[in-house]
Amino acid sequence: MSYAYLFKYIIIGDTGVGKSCLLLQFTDKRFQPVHDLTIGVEFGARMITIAGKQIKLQIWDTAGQESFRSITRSYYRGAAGALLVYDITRRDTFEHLTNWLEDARQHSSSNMVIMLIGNKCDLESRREVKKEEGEAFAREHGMIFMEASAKTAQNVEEAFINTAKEIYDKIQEGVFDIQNEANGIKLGPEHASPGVGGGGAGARGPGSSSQSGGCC
Amino acid sequence: MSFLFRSFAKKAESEGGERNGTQAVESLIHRIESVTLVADRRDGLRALKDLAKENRVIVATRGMDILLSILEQDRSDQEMVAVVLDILCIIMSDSEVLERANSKTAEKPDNDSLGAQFTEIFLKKSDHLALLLEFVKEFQFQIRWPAVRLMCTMAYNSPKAVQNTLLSVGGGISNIMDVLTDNREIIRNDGVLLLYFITKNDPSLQKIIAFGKAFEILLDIVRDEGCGEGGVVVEDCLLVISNLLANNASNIKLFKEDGCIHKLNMWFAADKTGSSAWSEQRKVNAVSLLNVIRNLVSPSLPSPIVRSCQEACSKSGLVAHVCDILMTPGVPLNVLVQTLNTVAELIRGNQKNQEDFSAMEAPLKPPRPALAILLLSMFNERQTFDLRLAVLYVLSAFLHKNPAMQLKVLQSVQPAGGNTPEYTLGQLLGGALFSADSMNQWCSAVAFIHCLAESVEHKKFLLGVEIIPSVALPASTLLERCGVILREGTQLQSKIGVLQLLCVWLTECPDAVDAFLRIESIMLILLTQILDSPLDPAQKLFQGLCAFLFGICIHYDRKSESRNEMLELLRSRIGLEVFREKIVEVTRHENFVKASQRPDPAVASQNDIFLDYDFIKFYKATEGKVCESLDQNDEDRVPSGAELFNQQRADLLARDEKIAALERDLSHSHSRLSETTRQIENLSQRVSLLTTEIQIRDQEIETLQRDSRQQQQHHHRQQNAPSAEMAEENRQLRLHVQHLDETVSQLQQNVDYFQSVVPELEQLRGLVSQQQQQITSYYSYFEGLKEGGDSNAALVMENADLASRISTLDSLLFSWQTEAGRVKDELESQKAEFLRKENAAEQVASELRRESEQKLVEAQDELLKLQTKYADLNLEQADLLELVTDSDQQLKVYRDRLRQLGEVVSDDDE
Repeated sequence: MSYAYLFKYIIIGDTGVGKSCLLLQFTDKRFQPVHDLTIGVEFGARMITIAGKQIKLQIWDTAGQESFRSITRSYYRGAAGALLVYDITRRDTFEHLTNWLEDARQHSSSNMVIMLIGNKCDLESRREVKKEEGEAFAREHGMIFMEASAKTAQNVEEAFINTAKEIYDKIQEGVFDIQNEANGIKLGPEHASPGVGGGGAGARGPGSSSQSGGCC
Repeated sequence: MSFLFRSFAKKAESEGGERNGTQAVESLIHRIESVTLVADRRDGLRALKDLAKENRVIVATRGMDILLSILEQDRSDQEMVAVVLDILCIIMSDSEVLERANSKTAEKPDNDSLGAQFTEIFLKKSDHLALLLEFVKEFQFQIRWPAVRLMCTMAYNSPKAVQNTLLSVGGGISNIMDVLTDNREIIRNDGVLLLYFITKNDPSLQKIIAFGKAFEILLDIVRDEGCGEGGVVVEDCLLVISNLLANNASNIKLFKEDGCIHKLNMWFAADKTGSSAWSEQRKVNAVSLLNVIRNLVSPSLPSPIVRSCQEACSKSGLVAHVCDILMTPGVPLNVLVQTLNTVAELIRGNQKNQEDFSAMEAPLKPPRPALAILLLSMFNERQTFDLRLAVLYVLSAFLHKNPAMQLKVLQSVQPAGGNTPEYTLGQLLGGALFSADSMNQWCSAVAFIHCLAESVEHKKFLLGVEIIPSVALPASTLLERCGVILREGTQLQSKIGVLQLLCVWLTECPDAVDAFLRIESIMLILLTQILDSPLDPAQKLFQGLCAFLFGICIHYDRKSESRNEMLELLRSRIGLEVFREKIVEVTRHENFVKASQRPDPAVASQNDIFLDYDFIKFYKATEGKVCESLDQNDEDRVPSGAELFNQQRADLLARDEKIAALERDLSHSHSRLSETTRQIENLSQRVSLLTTEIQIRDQEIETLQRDSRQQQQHHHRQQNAPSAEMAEENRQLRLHVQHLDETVSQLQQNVDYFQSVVPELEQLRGLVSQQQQQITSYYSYFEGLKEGGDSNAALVMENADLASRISTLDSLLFSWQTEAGRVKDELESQKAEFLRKENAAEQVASELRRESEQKLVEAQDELLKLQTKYADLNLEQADLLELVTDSDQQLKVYRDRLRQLGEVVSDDDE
């Protein structure tokens, strides 16, 4: 399928906060209460639409355990967006955010959009981290924030899409150098010229949407 | 100083000899360590480099430390770093490792090689690798190139160590990925080679490298280098892609998502197959490309991934492109074989792709189905065996999970009358069984196995199929032909092929067993084979399969007489234990083990072709059943390990059944118990109901009494009524009492019943605990068995499985037991409650009875009194009446007298 842009995401955060479940909810629209521990990294993909443009999201779901940390670090460079996830029912996962953020900032390109997600917001009775605290932390570190639930799917779609919107806006503003693929952004095959068309959405004619067949 | 240095080095070199070399190296290293001038140190290193090749060991052992510390300390001195990297490259290389040809194909170097040892020393500190990765990033040619080469050499020497260090350093992979876009080909190509070494068998690195857009970059290189016509770098790129995909579902998904499957089509656009000669490199490139495709659809992957990749390949036109290679003239043999294997895996189990493939036609006049042409080459003795096996692989993939196609082939075996029709697939297969070539017969038999897979209907259908091999020969059924081959065949290969077919055919199909047993003296032939004691391993395999077929006949024969006859034959002639051992031994045969490893044909020579992959799966699944059926008829024998296991498994299954039955009993009695509890509850409700009724009656009696008192007062007007009402009331009371009596006796009955149930429950409970003990003992027995060191892993696993089942049953039983105890207690308390209630009811009833009797007596007294009063009143009334008549008379007299006196007297005054 053709697309205007391809964004690469990574999902990071402590083990057991629900990273894999968020991805599964987003790509397959289902929830799996018992999920195996992620070993290393798993891959998922989905197409979304922003401002009338088809955008392909490729998402790498990382393992949260400390022993996989150095593997995870290899994925920062080359990701356009990161979902940093904590569990609102486990205070420690919130307190580790600073470490995660440091790691991410150190190894990623400076433009990487990071979205902070407080997962498991359906478990209100067991809440240990107030929503305001999450908001304050995000504000302080220049991130977007959202509470979500991979179980009820609340805000899951929004989390991925809002991150994509932020990246898209940055492209429109010219912050991202889309020619440099180390940013985790790739122009789709249908883009004849890489110019950043600030104009109306869906400006591409139907003629250009066909796949460019022979590569040679 | 530097001059002296140089001349010294030259001198050392010219002297040559090893001892002198050692001395020279030692003094050089000493100088390098001690000099202060950078230029001198550089010169020393250069001199050392010149000596390094001849004095590798001494340079490495003496100089490694100083070389590494120079790398760390003088990292900014590019010239020095370059020389040090060069020296390290030289001492790490065991031979001309990077001469590609042998580096990729050569077996993994032994871990004790010098290169591996030096690599370990280098990697002892992960900082060294991090440093090296920094140099890989450096753009300067004389640094980047040796850095890449050094990494490459080390990754070749000890791949696992380099991979682990790379993962622990983290983040350095992007430096390596950057090398791939270096426009200096020599660096880029070594970078590709480095990727090849570090991506082998390491899923984590594979994923990181794929994340770094490896697929895209590598495919771009392939394209830029001219695809199939390109050089060795094309091959290297494809090998890396294969590494990245091998058994890595995440990367396969990414490959597909990134549209790389579509990109592979560029190969066929660029590669004008047949237009130019097939150079060695072109052949290797083509095979490598096909290998990439096979990694996407390999049967060893999870089926959803295979299916989605098959669909993507079909949609993008890749399947058609690959199929086209088959029909292109002049394709070299090894490419053709690999193409066949690729096609097989692309269509395997995918109905659409299978259909597309069956519709493919060979460019002949007139066009004929491609599959028929392929079969013709499979049955052509002049073709090489690997090609013939590859065609068989395609055929099996074509029939895999496609019953309709299987039936179609079977139906076409028998010529459909009329004039000589074109050869159909079925006819080709059937005809090959009459060929003189053993491999033809083998291939035909195995192809038929794939037509029969898991369908009893197909097995029955094939029974009736006749083949007319040629005009000269009489028609015979396929089964008869198999019998002939078994009886008269001389080649082991064809006989083993036919045996496999028969084993599959007869399984679960008693009709086929019947037909087979009717073949003259066939069982005798099998028995003779089983009785033999061959030494040759292939003969042993043959014998084992004969035994297996014999066992299948016993297991699936529906006539018990012939079954017992066969069993008796085995018992008296061979002994069941030996017989069973022969069946089990097949699974230990080298050929069995080898063929079970992968579905695609991978044998070294035609003489090794005996067993089919699917047959092996079938054998593993059926062998146990066949042995089991022998067990059922076998009492007195010394059990061997596997037999013992089978027996115990059967035993355990029986226990399971028994436990299930007891479980049913328990639940039954449980339900009965709850029923009785409910009854007791009902009864107690009724008792309370009766109590209230009695109260009501009390009230009624009270009102009755009040009424009778009133009646006494108003007896003038109601002389007759009271007694009648009283009688009615009495009757009702009596009825009531009677009813109460009945209820009480009913309650008594219920209580009796409960008391009779209690011992039953007790007994049940005993049974349950007994069962539990039994289970515990089995469990411990199995524990013991497991610890007994049985090497059979499956056995141990099964044991563990059974043990866990027993433990769950245990806990289940325990919970039932406690439940039963609880229920019993409940029953006991219910009973007591009931007794109490009953007493109360009785008390109430007797009280009521007494009371009502008393009331009755009172009422009767009263009645009597009332009656006497009534009699008195009657008398009084009679008197009064008399009085009244008298006065009436007197009145009349007085009236008459008045009339006579002339007074007007009206009658009204009366």
